[in-house]
Amino acid sequence: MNLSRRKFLRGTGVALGLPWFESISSFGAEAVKNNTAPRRLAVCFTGNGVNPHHWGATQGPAGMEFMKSLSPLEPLKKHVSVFKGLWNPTTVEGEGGHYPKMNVLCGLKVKKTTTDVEVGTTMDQLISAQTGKFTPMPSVVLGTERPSYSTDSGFTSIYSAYISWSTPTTPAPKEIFPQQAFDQLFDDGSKRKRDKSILDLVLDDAGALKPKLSQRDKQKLDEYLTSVREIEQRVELAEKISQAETKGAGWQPTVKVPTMQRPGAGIPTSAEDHLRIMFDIMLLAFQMDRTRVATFMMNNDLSNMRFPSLDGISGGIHELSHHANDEHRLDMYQRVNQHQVKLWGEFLGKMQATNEGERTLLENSMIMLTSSLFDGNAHDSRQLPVVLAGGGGGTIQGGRLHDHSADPNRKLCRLHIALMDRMGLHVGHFGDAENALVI
Amino acid sequence: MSSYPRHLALAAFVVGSFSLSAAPAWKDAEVVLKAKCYECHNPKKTKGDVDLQQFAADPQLTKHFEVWLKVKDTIENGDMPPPKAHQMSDPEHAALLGWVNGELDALAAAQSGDPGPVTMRRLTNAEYDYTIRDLTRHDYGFAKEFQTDGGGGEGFSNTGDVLFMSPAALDKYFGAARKVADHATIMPGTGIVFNPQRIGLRGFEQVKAQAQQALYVWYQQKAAPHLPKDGDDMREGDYMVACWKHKHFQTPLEQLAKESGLKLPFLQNWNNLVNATEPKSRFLDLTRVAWRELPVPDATKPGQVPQAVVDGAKTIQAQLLSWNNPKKPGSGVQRYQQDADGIRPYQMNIDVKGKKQAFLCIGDDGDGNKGDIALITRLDVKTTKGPMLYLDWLNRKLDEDHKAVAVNPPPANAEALKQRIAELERVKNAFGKHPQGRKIEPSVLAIAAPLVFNLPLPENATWMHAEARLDLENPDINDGTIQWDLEADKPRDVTKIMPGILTVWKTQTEAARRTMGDFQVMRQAFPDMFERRLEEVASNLYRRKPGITVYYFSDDQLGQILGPKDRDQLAAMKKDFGYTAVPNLNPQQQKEFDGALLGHLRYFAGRAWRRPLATEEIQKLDALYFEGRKKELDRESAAREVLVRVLVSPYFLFKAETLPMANAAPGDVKLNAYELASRLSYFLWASQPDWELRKAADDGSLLKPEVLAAQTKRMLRDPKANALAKEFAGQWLKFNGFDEKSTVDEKKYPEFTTELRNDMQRETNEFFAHLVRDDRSVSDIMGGDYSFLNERLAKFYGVPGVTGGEFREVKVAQQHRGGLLGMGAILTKTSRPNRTSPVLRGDYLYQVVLGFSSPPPPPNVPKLPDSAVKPASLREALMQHRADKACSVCHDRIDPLGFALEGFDPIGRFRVADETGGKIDDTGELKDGTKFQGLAGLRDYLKKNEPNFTTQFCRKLLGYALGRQTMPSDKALLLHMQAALKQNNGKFSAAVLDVVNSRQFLHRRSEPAMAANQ
Repeated sequence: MNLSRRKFLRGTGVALGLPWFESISSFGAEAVKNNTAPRRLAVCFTGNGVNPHHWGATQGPAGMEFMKSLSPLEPLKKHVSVFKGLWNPTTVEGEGGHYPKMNVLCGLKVKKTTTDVEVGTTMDQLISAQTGKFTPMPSVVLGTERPSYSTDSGFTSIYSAYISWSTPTTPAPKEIFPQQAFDQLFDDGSKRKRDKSILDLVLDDAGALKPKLSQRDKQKLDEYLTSVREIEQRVELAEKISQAETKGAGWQPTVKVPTMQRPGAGIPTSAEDHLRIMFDIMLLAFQMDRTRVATFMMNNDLSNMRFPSLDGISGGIHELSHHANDEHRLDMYQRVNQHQVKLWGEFLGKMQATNEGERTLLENSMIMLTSSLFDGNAHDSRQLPVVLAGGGGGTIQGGRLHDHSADPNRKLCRLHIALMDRMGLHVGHFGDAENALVI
Repeated sequence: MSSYPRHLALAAFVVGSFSLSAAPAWKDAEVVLKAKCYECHNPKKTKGDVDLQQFAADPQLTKHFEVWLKVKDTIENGDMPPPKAHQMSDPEHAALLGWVNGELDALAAAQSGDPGPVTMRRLTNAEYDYTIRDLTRHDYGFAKEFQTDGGGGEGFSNTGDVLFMSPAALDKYFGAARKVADHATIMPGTGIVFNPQRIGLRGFEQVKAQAQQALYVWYQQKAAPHLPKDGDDMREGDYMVACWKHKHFQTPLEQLAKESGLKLPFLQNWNNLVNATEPKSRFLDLTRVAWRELPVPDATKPGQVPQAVVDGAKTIQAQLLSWNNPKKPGSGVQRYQQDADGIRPYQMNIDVKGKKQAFLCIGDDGDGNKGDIALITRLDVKTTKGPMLYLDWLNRKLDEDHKAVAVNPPPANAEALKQRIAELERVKNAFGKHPQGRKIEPSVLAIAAPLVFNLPLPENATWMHAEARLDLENPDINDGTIQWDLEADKPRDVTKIMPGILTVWKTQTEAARRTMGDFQVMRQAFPDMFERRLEEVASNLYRRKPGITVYYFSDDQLGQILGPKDRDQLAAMKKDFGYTAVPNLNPQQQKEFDGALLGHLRYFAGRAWRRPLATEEIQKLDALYFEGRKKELDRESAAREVLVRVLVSPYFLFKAETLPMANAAPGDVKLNAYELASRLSYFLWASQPDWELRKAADDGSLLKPEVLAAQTKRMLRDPKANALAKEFAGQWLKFNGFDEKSTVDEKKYPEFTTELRNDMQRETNEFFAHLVRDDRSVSDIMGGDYSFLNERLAKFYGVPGVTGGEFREVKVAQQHRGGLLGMGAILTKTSRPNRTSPVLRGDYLYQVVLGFSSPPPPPNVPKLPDSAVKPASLREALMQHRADKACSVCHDRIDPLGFALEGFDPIGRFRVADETGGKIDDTGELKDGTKFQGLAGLRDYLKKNEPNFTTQFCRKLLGYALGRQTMPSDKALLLHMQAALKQNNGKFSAAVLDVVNSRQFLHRRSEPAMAANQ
């Protein structure tokens, strides 16, 4: 374990997280001159791994053939790439079947602690620091389940509830309420104007408080200070964007006003309804260019989400993942996987149906589906299930199987670097990887 | 607890005791480590994430005590070295353990009482909601939309390190603060009042209307209990007699009220009324002049009230009551008078049984008869034979009488008949004739007031009816005010006002206005309904001086009845109305208005920030308000901006504990009184200090141990201490949120309804709430023979004799329950959706309740077969499982505990057989042969090992109170807490008081101290 390098990499995350504050003034000009549709990135996550026998694709005579769990993606096959063999090597060190694996989007080691959590700034958050200059919201972080209150085998269970981290020590807060997510994304920013003077004042409060605090508390207060500043920037940004929109120059989103009803309060009772509405919100956010980066935890790791609509399945996902190679349990596990892929596929289909001029929204996007484990039964993270849909704005040719099983450097972070490149964030190295995967 | 190896680091710390003098040296211990440990635990190979070789030169025990705790534990347990590796010899064992124990003990002693690293705590979501509840008096629950808090430290959400702040979170705080502000009305007098519903932007008229409405309602609510209701005897005569005594004997009103059981305010009002000549009113004079004309005292009987006075007062009372309908308040003459317009016919009805004649009394209302002509347009009489027109009867009777008189010879009563004929002719001739000669219908009787017109009645007449109109064609009609009345007994004085009789006039005339004005005065003095009396009090709103109403309270009178709090409230509401009812305030008033609002805002900020404000802070609050005003926000909206600003400030969102600004001395810093108050209230209530606690902080007395203890005891009894049940116990014992989501297979267990789930949650909450607030013994958690049930849950548990939805304490030992382990929420939570899990239940007991730690399962654990859903085969499978050495290390300790609870099914029902009828085996056997059966057996076993539980309880309580993980330096305090519990029969408060009095709780680390420790 190379401490100094790890620290350096974590440090990079922080440094990269900041520039958008500084470069904010250049925003207007950039937005106006760009005439092509922007690229979008989303990572969808499901906890507890997949049934290993039916996940993935094979290379047939006529090209890639989906295995059973991915079969719902058949109509979109030419937009889908399946990756085999990618992993985060840090996850197989140390004890713990679940929490140490929750570094899917940064590849850095999950700190074993019950208090001062630390993983690493994740790739989506680094990208959003860049692309967030152009959109009202830098990113949207969605989920369906809350974290649970507990500590378990020396870890805090917070880890199982987040895939996005805005700093190495701060998870990006995840929205699980459809209405709240909707309001955050589609608010026109007008109420923000009055927030401005209040923001100045509370910033003063924090400034006055800071010298009286201990070092430790100062760091905590810094979270607050950073948050205040970011909201201030958003207020300004909202104004600039509305100005740019009225000028009508440059690329314009095809959808201008929300095409869905504002969701009702609370959480939908059925898991499917909840998933579909969150997918729809994410879709609309992309269609309206309210943000270009999204992560969506379709469930938490260790989740016992259930789909009562599927016949003959008893038990939650986590329970099913411990199938013990029992045929019936494996079958149930697989069917749940397939069901999740189907819901994901519906979302992809809607993206494909959204025409953005030269290309469809799906063709302009990169939508990943992954988990923190492969075979959940064995807590196996020696490879991860990774599926990538979308054309990345004409930079990714789909319909292909990328088998890296035998690749000596099969780090998932290399794929992340490749995606970051396409989103306009060029980093020489990221997480535990030094170079981009060629895709 | 000899059978359990001591896994738990701190538990071992606390319980173990080693002699310091005998402690081997580091070099001896290092030799052992080198020989037996470095091979796997070095910088390159860090098995279990542990590198011991890095400490070869310096064990750095202070900094890395956690590593050394782990070393000690694993070796003591025999977990290390692993079975396949070289084992330690006894001397090696002794050298290593001796050193580590000695050092750790020494460390604990040296730093005992260290406040420890406590990171500044943001309000948890629960604390946010409780705090807003206490600030606003409404349970809005806005935090349910916040990002959920995680758990850290000792597993609680109130640990600073895991309470994050992010733009999205701050955004939500903004949203919530705006919502809170939108629920507020902000007024100059009553200040900031939060409403259950959103108020939002209000226009001038709305503000005024709401101020008015609020005051109006308040007057009525406050006065209602003290005003006579409809149907009450209002004792008008008694009041008048008392006034008479006051006048003639000079007896003070207070004394008179007391003597006669009269209400002083009413007596005062009566006395004012009867002695006043203003406002003028002929109708009111019927009462007050009559009172003044009551006889004077009898000189021969000094001090006595002549009967004539008492009778006179009674007569006046009758006069007063005659204006009302005693059967239906609010429907008497008093009410109809306002609509008397002379256009419509007015009805008269009278009972005439046994009467020979009736008197049609046409009165001039006592104001002269100009214009007073009544037209009786219909006159009916009813006899036992049926109804008829009076005129028909008259004609028929005249006919009969004429015939009777005309017979020859004349009848014996001829003279009488003739007289009657004359009388009837008189009446008949009056019909169809107008006093002023106008032509009218022959059936109409026109009568000029004042006149009593006698109407002879047929035999057996029972009832008479008349309809009358005011003659509007009268040239003098503008002066007309007339009364009419049918009487059967005796005629009335038609030259004066006839009490209780409607006065009729032509509308829009001077006479009508004058008379109605007079009448109104009387009506105001004696309203005919309870509601009117309430309105009279509420009308104080518009009055500059007290009204003339008798059964009524002026502001002063109301103030005397109510307490100082209500008096202040009244003054505040009047102030609201005063400033908001006028659209254009002069500059001085505007200044006062702003000043009043700012005062309220400062007070609110001081409460929300849990400390007094600095002058500069006050100026900034004011400035924001004025900035809003400049941007043309109305006053309330500008004030709402200040509320938002206060609620998103770090001073509200964080419980900051500050250090002295310059040159902090090494060592601990004592919390100031405000910081201590916050620590205490967030510990016990998960909310802000209340007024009493704040007062103790303001005067600094809270820093005195006896005041602190008294406040603590008071607060533990307060309902707000339920937060300890929900937050502390709920998070520790993991039942918090049980009601939010079902983990049960609903298809298999349809009887596990949402209601049942909520009841189970409620059971646990009630149990712990009572434990805290009734100060029961902590040992009840495991050993109590009671629980809290309602009918539904009792039925589910099979506990008889509980009816209704209310939760109450029930003895449940007979039903295999009592305390935590018999609770449905716990038993369900530790089951799989469709079967029980002895592993989960055992692990829950082992780790959560008793505080031992077990390592996570190794990877690739074989799963239990599906058939294992049946308890018998499940037991078998688990036993097999334990044949594997890798599994047995932990499962030997865990599973037996869970087996003992097999008598409860996956949704917490007691059972003796499984679904297929197989007998349930609920025995557990530990490796050392200790056996126990069922909940009772398990409880007995746990009772013997109570110190483990108490240790865990103390550790959790301390962790929750301090918002951090417990440390070796807490050893002494934890021991002291346990001793305190023992001395006080386990009373919950004993542990709490110990925490609150501890150095850890009263201090925080200062900067240099932290530097040394990190």
